[in-house]
Amino acid sequence: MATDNVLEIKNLHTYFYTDGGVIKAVDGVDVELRRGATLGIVGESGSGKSVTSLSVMGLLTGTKGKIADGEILLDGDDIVKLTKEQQRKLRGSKISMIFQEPMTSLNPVMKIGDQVAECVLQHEKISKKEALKKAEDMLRKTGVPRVEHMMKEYPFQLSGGQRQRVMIAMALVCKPEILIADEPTTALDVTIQAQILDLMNQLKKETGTSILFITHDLGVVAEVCDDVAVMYCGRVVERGDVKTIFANPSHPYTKGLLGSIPRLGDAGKELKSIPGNVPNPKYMPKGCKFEPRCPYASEKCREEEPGFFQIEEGHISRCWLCESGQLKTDHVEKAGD
Amino acid sequence: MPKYILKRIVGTIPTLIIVVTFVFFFVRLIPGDPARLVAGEQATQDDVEAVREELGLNKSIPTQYVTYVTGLLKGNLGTSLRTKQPVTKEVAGRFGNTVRLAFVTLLWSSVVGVLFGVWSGTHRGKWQDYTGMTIAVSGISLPSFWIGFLLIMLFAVKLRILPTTSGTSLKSLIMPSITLGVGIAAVIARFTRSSIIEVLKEDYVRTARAKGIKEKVVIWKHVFRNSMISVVTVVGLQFGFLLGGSVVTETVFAYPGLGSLLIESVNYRDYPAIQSLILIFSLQFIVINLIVDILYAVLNPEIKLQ
Amino acid sequence: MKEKKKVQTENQERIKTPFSEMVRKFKKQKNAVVALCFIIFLIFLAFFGSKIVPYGINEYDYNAILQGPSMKHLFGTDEFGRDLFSRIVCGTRISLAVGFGAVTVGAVCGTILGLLAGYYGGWMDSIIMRICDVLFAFPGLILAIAIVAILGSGMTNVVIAVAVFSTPTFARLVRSKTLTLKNSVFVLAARNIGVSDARILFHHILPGAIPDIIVQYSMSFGSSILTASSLSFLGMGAQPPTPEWGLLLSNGRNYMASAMYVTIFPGLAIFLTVLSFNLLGDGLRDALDPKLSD
Repeated sequence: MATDNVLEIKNLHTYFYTDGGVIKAVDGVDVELRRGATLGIVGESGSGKSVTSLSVMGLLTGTKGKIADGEILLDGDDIVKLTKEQQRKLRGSKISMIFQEPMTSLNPVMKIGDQVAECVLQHEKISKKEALKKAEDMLRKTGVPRVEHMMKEYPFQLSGGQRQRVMIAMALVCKPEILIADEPTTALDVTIQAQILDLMNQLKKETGTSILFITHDLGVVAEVCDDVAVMYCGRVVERGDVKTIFANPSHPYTKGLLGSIPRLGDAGKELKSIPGNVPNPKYMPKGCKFEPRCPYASEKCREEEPGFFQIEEGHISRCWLCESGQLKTDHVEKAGD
Repeated sequence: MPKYILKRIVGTIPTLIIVVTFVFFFVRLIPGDPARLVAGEQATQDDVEAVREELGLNKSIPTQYVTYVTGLLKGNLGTSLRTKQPVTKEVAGRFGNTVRLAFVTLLWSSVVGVLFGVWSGTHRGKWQDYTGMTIAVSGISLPSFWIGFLLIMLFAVKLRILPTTSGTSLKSLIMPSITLGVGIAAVIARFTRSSIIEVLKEDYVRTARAKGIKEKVVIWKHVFRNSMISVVTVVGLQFGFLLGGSVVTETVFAYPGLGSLLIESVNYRDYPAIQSLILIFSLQFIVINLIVDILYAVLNPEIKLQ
Repeated sequence: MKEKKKVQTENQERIKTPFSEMVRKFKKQKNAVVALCFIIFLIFLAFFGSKIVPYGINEYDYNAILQGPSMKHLFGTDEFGRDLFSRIVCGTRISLAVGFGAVTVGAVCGTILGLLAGYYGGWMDSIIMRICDVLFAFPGLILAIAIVAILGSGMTNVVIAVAVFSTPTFARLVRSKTLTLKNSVFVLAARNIGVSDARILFHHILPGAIPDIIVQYSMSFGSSILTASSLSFLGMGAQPPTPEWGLLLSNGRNYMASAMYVTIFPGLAIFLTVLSFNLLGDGLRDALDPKLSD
């Protein structure tokens, strides 16, 4: 296939089959990750962004979740159709992942070196000694101090930032094509956050790994991402490259998210927020899922869910306001009054 | 690590003192005159006074206490009323038998219990889980003496493949050990299962899976190792249950251990012997819990490296 | 706008009370429901068993000694020709009474000690927990034997012995729950507006510990019956001719080769009773534990 997309998610539906009924956590997600680029998936908690990443990783086993429909193409091959064993072999070698909670994501009774080397040993036919050497080299690249010592230490002896560096080393030690980062900096101090983001950017350049970056923080997106997909209620509502989205957001939800970032110079002004809450997945609105919270909602929004409208090349939005292509919201506000 | 072990050993000293004190007062709590009890119903008043003198019961309580504790430190447990022999001698003859039975039982029941627990826990909600847990809940509900009788009826009376009673050969250990171990294996299985289920929810298990580690390795290297930290504690507590259970089991099989000695002593109202045996049982329990604490540290690097 | 409000009230209507949620979850545990039915049946037998059995518990019949199960004697007869079925049915009352008495005393004492230790902390906590540690340092049955050896044999003393060793379990359980609840917002709020300690303990903290106490109660009930019957079996509990199950079983061992039903049926009675309390405890725990609901 002559595509430069390393990962394509097409019409993904991941449902959770609980006692209380089916919860459609991911309900029609389409995104593309360009080779060597970073795609940010942005949304509030409950928007389905984490479930999307777990679906890609094939880590839904053990939960009540199942991929109900859709394709996940890795280099053009659908990995949903693979057997569990085949999926397992991809994990850690072609796609790997780092998580939000560095404090609890490492095994407390295993030495750091062993935990990093374990991944190499599983996927490559090399001796334990060579695997440990690789682990040590990778740890050094992540900039943790006194690597030789740390190889023999246990997670409780490390700080949160150091543990996240170990997680990154573990994820990249087998040189995967894709790294999924699920809120990797949320649990860390602000200064450490910046260091970790720098490290990820630097390692991406060195290794050519593409990154799927899951976050709720648009500030982080601006710093590390090339493309953005905004998710709401299990759907992608707006997609485009990062500059376009920040310069010209067209979905009211994206605008709301951007409006709620505090900026220097805004002191004294009231901080904007999006009114209301994410709807309960059991009682989804019939039409546009954002309609109950949308300041521009009309009768049509209530009745019918919009599809994607192209605003410009590579920038699409799931909002009726964009139906005619170039609508500016100012006009609508007047029309709505 | 050595510091931790030392700390645990020192930590048991208050418990030891309280246990010894409790056991000392134990005999003095018995309603009636202990000297009269020891001397017997038919003894004359003079005889009773002589016994009182001999046992030091005419002295003040603190003096008696000091005498008792110094005696204990010298390994003197008093004289049995039943056999007129030093209790130490009787205990020594049977101690090994009880330890042998306890050891064999704890060994097989831990292994069986842990395997059942892992099997159930990793198949949560499936038929394997229901089967395992139904067996386990039945196991904790079975009266051990009943198991003993059923085993005797089946293997000794009907099939005639195992000896009915006594003896300390490995073959004659089989039935007592099963009788004693069923309940313990069941408790360990239940606890292991819930511990496995807890650990399966941990983030580091997800990390291991995200690394593409084979599920079998995830279970045995990551989940099992971590869940054992809490299971070890329960195995230690089970030892207390095991000591109690040994009393019943040894009686059922007329097994010559400390448990059956305790019952014989209670039936004979042999108070010095009862007193010593209760002390020995709790000492065993304290020692085992100390070992468990140390094992806990060995499994847990956070404590080991302190 | 109106429609939005309607959606909201609909949502609120669907929210279940904790109790109905518990009942719903409990009903899903088929084992536990069956166990509960069996326990209700046992309670019925405990009250009315003696009125419905075909023979008196001490009705001797020397013409029908050690007879196997038949239509006349469902579970057979013992060495005095007494009907085993009638004796086992009448024994229900004894086992349930021992379990109820011992566990209730243990639960009440343990709960009070646990509340005090957890709420006041300091020296009160140290003393209470030290006592519990010492009680835990004696293996359960050994402690019971020790107590019976002091007090003498008999069912009342068995109840006391079992109560003593089930107390620390409840004390530890309630203490740890109290420690968590003590610092919860609603307790701090109650303290700030000057609610008395007693009221905080019994109206604010105790209700939070009740679910755990209920689960432990059910589990302890089963093990108490087991311990009591063990003591009777060892000759330290009920004395002949009481139809206590452990005693019946101990009696039957002399006829094991010729009349095994004399040991089989009392054992089965103990097993099924203890099993139902344990299954009930498991079911309640799963219904009450928010951790397990996912």
